[in-house]
Amino acid sequence: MQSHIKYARISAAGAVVQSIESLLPLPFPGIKPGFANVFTLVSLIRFGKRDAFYIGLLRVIAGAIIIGTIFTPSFLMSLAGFLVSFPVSVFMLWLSRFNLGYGLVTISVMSAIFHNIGQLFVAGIIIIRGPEIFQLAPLLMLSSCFGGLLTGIFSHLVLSDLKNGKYNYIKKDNNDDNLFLSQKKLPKVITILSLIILLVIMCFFIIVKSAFLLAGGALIISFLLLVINFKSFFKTLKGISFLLSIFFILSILFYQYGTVIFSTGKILITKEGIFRGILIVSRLAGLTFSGRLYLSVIPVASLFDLFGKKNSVFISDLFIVLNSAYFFRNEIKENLKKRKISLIKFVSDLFRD
Amino acid sequence: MNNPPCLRIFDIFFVLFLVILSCVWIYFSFSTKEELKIEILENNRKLIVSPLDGKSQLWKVKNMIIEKGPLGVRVKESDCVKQICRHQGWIRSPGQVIICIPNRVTVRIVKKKVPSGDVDAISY
Repeated sequence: MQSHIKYARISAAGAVVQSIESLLPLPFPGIKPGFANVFTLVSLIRFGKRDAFYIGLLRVIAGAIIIGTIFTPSFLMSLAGFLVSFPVSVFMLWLSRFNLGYGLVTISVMSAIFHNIGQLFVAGIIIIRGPEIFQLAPLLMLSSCFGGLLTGIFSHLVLSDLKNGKYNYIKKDNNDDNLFLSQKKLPKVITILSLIILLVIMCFFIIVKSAFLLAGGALIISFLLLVINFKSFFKTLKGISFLLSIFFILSILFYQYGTVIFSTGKILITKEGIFRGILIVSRLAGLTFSGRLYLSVIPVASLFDLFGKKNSVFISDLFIVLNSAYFFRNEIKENLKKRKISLIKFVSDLFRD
Repeated sequence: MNNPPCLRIFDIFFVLFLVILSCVWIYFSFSTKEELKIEILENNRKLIVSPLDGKSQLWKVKNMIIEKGPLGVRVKESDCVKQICRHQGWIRSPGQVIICIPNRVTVRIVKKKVPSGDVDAISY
């Protein structure tokens, strides 16, 4: 169970990176630096292929939920990209054992290229329904060269930082882990009911885009009904306030269409951009809250009868990922204030035992 | 498992090769224009098919003179009453047509390949 919490944390970090990347404006559709692949690559080398596949799948699903594109074509595209690129990187890693003279950079570049190939095929089959989309192939190949180079170097730095066994920033004992582990089994009916309520609330956040006020109200009412300590939830919000502000600023800055409210030279601040920022921030906060609610209400053990052990662990991991307060924590904020933080050391902390 | 090394000579050559390959690919895929053709039809029957290559040429179809030039293709002279076909001027992009109803002549520009580039951008 401990290892699953670790995996969920890694995929949470990956999902956050993935969703921040998708907010950035890019010259051509589909071109991204792909830094989220660092997490898959490092976990592939460190934990083996099964666990890395698990982490990557969690990351794709959770990132889509955060951005709100789940079950849309772009989610299918990123899923297909992952499913195509993962076996390729496994194969390349296996080949590199025979000392053929290539390193991490080639593995990550190949994985990026096959990610794009998978995406293009899905786009060609489902969305455009024609071969026109393959005009983008050379551009995507060029971008995946640079993205793969950067990703490979970054994952090498993370791996070499992992060789010393100490934690850099994160303290090992954490109350959140205990919250997750020490809980009794609930009766079946209550488990099903609370799962359904939670799913309805989360659907409000994910699908119904303008109803987040309603969903927030439902969440607060359910908090009151369940008599849960409010303070801990606001602590969660405080923990992710940094992340929320990044999301808000990015989504306002890079949305340059619609009714202009305020403009400074080239940068426009529009009504639609602010609405989009509020939407993304409230979705993330709401999902974090519901993940938190889930963790404190439904123990994993009571899901075993319903879904089987494997699936229920997966479901709870998804909720932990959504509870992304794990990612930005107070210790990290303190280090940020002292300007001591290094991204590589921070990422490598996630992979330690 | 031991960590694989980060950068080796093979990696550098591989990335450089891919960058050069994709640059060449981009150059060729964006520099070759799709070949356009002029089709001149009379009574829905193809009379003349000619590439739109900017060379000057004149055709006489029925009582009309159709001119091909660097600007595209136009009807230079016609004996019809309203002279709509002549006033339309040069056409050069695929999908444009000049129709002279009294003479039952159609001049149109078509693409040689399957029409591509209909998609400007994709965004989600």
